[in-house]
Amino acid sequence: MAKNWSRLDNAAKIFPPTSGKADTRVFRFSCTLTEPVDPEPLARALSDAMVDFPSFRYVLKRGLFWYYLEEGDFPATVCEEDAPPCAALYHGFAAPLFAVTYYGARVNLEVYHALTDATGALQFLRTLIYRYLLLRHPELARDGVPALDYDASRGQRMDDSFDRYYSGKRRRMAPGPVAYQLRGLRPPQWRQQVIVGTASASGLLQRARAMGATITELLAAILLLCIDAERPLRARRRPVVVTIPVNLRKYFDSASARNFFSVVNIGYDFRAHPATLEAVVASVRESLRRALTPEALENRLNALGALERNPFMRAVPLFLKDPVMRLSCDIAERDFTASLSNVGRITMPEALMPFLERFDVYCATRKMQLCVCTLGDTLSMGFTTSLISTDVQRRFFRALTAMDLDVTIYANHPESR
Amino acid sequence: MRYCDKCGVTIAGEEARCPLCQSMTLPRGGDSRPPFPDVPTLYARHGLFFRILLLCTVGGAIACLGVDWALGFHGWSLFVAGGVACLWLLLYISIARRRNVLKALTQQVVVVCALGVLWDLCTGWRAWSIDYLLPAAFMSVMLAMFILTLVLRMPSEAFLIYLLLDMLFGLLPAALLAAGLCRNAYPSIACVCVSVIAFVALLVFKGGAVAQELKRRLHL
Ligand SMILES: [Zn+2]
Repeated sequence: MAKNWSRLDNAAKIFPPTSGKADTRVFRFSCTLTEPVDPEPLARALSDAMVDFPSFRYVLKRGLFWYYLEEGDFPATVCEEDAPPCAALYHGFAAPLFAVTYYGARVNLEVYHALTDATGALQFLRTLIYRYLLLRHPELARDGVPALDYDASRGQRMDDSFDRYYSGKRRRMAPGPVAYQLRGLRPPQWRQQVIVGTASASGLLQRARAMGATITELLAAILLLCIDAERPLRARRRPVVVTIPVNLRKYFDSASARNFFSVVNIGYDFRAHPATLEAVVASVRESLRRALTPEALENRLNALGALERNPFMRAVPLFLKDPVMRLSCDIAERDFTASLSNVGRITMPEALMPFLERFDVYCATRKMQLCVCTLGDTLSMGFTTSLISTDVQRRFFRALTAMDLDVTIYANHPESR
Repeated sequence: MRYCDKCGVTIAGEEARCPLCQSMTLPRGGDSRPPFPDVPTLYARHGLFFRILLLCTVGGAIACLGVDWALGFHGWSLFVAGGVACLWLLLYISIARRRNVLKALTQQVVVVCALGVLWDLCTGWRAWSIDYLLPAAFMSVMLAMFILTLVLRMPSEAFLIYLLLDMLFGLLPAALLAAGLCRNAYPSIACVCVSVIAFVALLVFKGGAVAQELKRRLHL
């Protein structure tokens, strides 16, 4: 039988050459339930979910010119969490590009970014949890739980939407200024420092509205202010820039379960403008409004697509392409300090809500990343850094408690032993 | 659960110190399970073995150099040092590629042949490397791959590319024969025949899969 295979989508092409010990390019979505996880129905739910999402069956391989995804042959297995968060999944051979683990009442889905983005992974995790709860509580199935609101055929889920919406039209974009970079001691073995904080979503929304902002804009402004306040004086000449991934499915019609995102950079020059929350919020809102137009997003999509269609770039063998991609990624990534990704509100059928406590998301990074998602009234903010210092996180969560929000912190110990 | 009154946050687990500001926390009932399992930092488990092996081999090579020097330098110790370097190179490939046996075999056969030719050149070209080493290495790797894929029950796609590569290597002795470099032609002729027969067999039994694998691996 012929094996299915697929090219990597445009965003995914950068991940295999640039992932390593320092940045595994793995992100984790986890769902905390209200009771301990039972591994047996979880494994069965996983094998069902893998049938629903054919792209999760794929493994990564090296060709002569490009990496590509090929249908793999591996069983659906789950195991208890036994590795640091966001540890490497791709080791240069044909192994699954995702892993499902559990710890107490929590189900973790770790995904290699070349396979899919946060939206695709979330759809997979929602399906997994939905199927698990129905297997774990057969009485729910008898009452009839409405199906998940994810309407996409297998073809749509496998779609390479970057390719579909590439038109070739583009204007030259000037590269942004070099941004301030966080520095400091790192935990052993490039482990990630994970600090997840939860707060009331409605409480935060109310405070954001009072400033005429969205939650993303408010959190981006607080993050910019915290990073600025923590940096040494001599580093002040560079701007602080937060990069925000944008889910392109909202702007271009797509239901793909593979990568389909872009990024916009939001900077603030603290030397020229006041460091007050109101001023930063207003500036972030204005920058986002300018960057989030269909024209600007299409321009960026075409600029990235043009690179992989460049005939010279195509004909270069992979072993030469890898170092070039690594270098250009290092240069390109100098234009931001930290990254903020708001996955938004996660919906689950009403009948399942009593079994769900919250969703968390966080992502391996060499810099600093804040990933936000909301289930019901629980807003989860997952900070990851590969630094031992927690000063920015302390300022960030103290800024939230200063707004009279109740914050709960869940942290790991990257430096232990 | 604990509470940090400096930060004003509740902290999951039984942390004595606040993860944000590292000040002492206050007890506050509830769940005591740590939010993440404690994963000890794994130092290489076989570290000691490799260190001892490194010390013995490098120490031995240096001792040989010393003895050679003391006896008025005849150059034989350089071959010992070269042998140690070859050993470590092959060991490194085996360990770095331990998850992909076929890739390790393919890389090792290239390295072994290159080192063999180098040794032959350094010891006054007697052509033993291209007469015997190359054909023997290529044929044994072909046989090893065939047995491995049967024993490990690998899907055919996993080994096709490496088998094809090794067959291409197997044609190299034909070029050396044509160039008149070989002194004993029989092993080279045998190697070329085995490679061609293996290639034909592969096409007959796995022709479609070979074409697809090449299409995937060579896509632009
Ligand atoms: Zn504290």
